[in-house]
Amino acid sequence: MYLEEIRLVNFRNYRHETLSFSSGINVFIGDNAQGKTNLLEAVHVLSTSRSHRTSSDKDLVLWGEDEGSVLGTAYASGIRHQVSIKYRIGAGKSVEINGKRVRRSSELTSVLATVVFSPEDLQIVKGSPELRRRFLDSQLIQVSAAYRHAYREYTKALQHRNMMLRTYGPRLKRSGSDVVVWDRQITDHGSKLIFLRHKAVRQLQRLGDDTYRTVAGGTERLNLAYLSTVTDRDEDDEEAIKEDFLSALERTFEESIARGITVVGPHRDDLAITINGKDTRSFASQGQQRTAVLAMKMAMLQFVEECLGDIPVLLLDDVMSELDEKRRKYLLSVVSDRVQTFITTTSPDIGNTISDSSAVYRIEGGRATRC
Amino acid sequence: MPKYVEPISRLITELSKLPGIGPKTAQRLAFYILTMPRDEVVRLAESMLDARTKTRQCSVCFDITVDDPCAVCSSPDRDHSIICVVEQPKDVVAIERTGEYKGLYHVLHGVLSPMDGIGPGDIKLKELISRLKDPVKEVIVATDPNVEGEATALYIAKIARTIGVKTTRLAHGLPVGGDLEYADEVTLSRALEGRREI
Repeated sequence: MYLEEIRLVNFRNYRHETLSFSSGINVFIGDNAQGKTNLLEAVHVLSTSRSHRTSSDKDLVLWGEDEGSVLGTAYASGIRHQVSIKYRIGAGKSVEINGKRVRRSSELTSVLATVVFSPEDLQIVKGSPELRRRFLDSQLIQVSAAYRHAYREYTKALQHRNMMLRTYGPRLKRSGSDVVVWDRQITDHGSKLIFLRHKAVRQLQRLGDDTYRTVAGGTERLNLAYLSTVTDRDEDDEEAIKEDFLSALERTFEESIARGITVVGPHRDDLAITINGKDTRSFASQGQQRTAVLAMKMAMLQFVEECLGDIPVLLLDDVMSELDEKRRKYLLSVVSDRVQTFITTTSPDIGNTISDSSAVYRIEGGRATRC
Repeated sequence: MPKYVEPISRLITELSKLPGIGPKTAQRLAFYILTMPRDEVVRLAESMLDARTKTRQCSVCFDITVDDPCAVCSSPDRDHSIICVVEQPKDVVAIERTGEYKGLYHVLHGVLSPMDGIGPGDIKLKELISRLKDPVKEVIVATDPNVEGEATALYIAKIARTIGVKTTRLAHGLPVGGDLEYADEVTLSRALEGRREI
């Protein structure tokens, strides 16, 4: 997949801007707060109709304007598509592919899929489990309709159940009570989430370990394992997961009532990241952590490719400065000529490390000038 | 800020209370009403008043009706051993349009939704349970196929089971007349799960 051209109208700090891109590496160079990340955001908007930075569409429209849009020309499996996302303040957004309105923004992913790598991702290894869940969720939601559906329904059912726990508290009895009908909804959709996450993690493990060894260049092995709060199983048996989940809900019922929340389930699960069997959260060096994150992101890129049968676009938001020479070289060697990549950076010297076919833009105060 | 004269601003305010009608649409409608012939405006006003005052909920099935009990509940030609449970009166109309269903209805006027503070006491569930006696043998739950609709269906099934009434659920499947390739993945995998021998 690749994005050939993008047109911004009243988007963030861009009034009117048209940029054409290389199918290889594209670099946005500029000082802070000039609008580099806004361009990556625009590419992300084309692939999901949502920003990766804000949940408020209002923020995307140039201040003082009622309407803002991002238009793109993208190639998927060699076929050219026109994508248009228009935001109207107070009137929602409209998403069109080739002039036809699409109802599900997921259809965008089949035209332009993205994987984002930003400095916050460096916290995946050491940070809270939520970051590791989001690492899986954000991409699985893009590539799998079944996952998207289960995720949405699970979240709703969980909110209903938690509301009952809080409303009735200790008066709620589990046996024969109304909460059981929500348990069924939670386990139906939740076991699907666990099942699909397990499957994805197995694939990511294989891909990530290869990458890790290449970058680290030694005998160290990266291991990823899905840690569920409701089941120890990792076999392909959704029904068995569902049973385990149901008994976990029963087991934790008293605790859930005391705390007013459901204490087990995919919303509490984690991803265990180990290097040579050692937990990276407590034992890994800064360098090992960065290599692990880099390996996981590159694994995710390949995972999305395997799911879609086409290579997604990589968005590197200010991460080059966070990586040392060796890791930077590795990253560029992986993407070179194969993966369309968008890089933002404050340092002009990155321009020297990339090939002639790349497009380099200088970004200043909401204007982009090709170098 | 300059305002419209009182009768017009009042009309705009009343219209904008309707669902899906914002201040701009309300304004457009109000000015359209001013251009309408007088007798048409009277018909519109009367029809609104009539619809509101001459209808009520059927005391048996809670569908909207003029006579109580409603035409379906009081018809000897309907099968009184089956009740189809729906969320809203408009769902009754949808099922009646098929011309296939000959049983009775029960309108819940909502679904279980703790997030919105809606529990079993807030919809017509108690009233449904009191109907689950001879000659009723089967309850078809036709709530929407989302988490709230499914939870409500399970709730009904649980109670019906203790009473000894069979509960069935509408099948999930492919839209008729549609192309397989255009069905979304979730619908298609549900249809696969619910496949049957031919």
